[in-house]
Amino acid sequence: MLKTEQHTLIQTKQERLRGIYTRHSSKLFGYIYEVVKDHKIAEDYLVKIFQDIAMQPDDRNLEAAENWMFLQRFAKNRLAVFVSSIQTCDPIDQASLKQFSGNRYLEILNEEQKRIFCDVYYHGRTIHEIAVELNQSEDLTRKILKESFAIMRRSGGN
Amino acid sequence: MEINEYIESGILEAYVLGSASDKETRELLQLRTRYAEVDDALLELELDLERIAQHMAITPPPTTWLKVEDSINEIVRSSSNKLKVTTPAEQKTYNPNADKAPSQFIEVEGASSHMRIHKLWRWVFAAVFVLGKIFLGFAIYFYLENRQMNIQMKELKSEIQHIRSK
Repeated sequence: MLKTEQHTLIQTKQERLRGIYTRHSSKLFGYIYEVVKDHKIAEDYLVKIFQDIAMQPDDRNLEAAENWMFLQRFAKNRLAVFVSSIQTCDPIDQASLKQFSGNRYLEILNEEQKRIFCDVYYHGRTIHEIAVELNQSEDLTRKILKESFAIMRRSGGN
Repeated sequence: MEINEYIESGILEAYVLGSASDKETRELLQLRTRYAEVDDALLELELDLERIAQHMAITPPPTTWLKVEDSINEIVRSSSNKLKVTTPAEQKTYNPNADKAPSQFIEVEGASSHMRIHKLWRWVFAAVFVLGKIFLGFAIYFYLENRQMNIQMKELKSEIQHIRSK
């Protein structure tokens, strides 16, 4: 009896996870690939992220993972070690420019917008950190981030 | 600060992208419950974020889900093997065989009738198959050879008998 219940629970959890995977895996894979720039490493991270979600003791993470924003943040945390070891989003750093070349969303942004969006979206840096680094106010940094977001949103609508 | 000014400040974007400070997040979540405009703007931004991600999406290899499933099954199997379960009745009553009773462990058996083995075994099976074919070939060869020799022996014997009878 216990064995059957346990098996049913695992099966239900896996089915829910499969639903999340079907809905979000392409977006997540695209996001991870944009950070790591290697299909094999991106796939490994994707597997690890879903494994971590499934292994949480309660179902709260599973529920939250149905929301893209949560899933993307979860992935960002898991990628933190990798992100800290790669190049910055500084446009002076040629390698970082190459890193995001071919991404039509980022290419429509100017250097400053690209840098702030990249720092926030891919590197998970706070507005305060970026503002200090760029020697500008947090309000201005937030405004630039808002502009970048608006440009990308408009571009997506076209 | 006016609520529209707050929405235009970029804090909402910073929040959905995960770069708002704890203080900003607390403030935003409070305002979200008080002002429908903030809640609507936030929901809209969440959808926009998902839309942007959708445009940058790349389909993962078709085998990736199997890898996810395998890794989860592996962990479940290994943790289930370590799981020791006692029923409430066993907890309350003295069991003299408690130390040696293997029934205290729930036997975990996969529902699937398939068996999972190491990939290395496919080479072993291939080698056994090839060797089997080689031995079969030899067996057929020696059988035919032996039959041929028996025929020759019979012919020789009949020749000898024929010569002797002369």
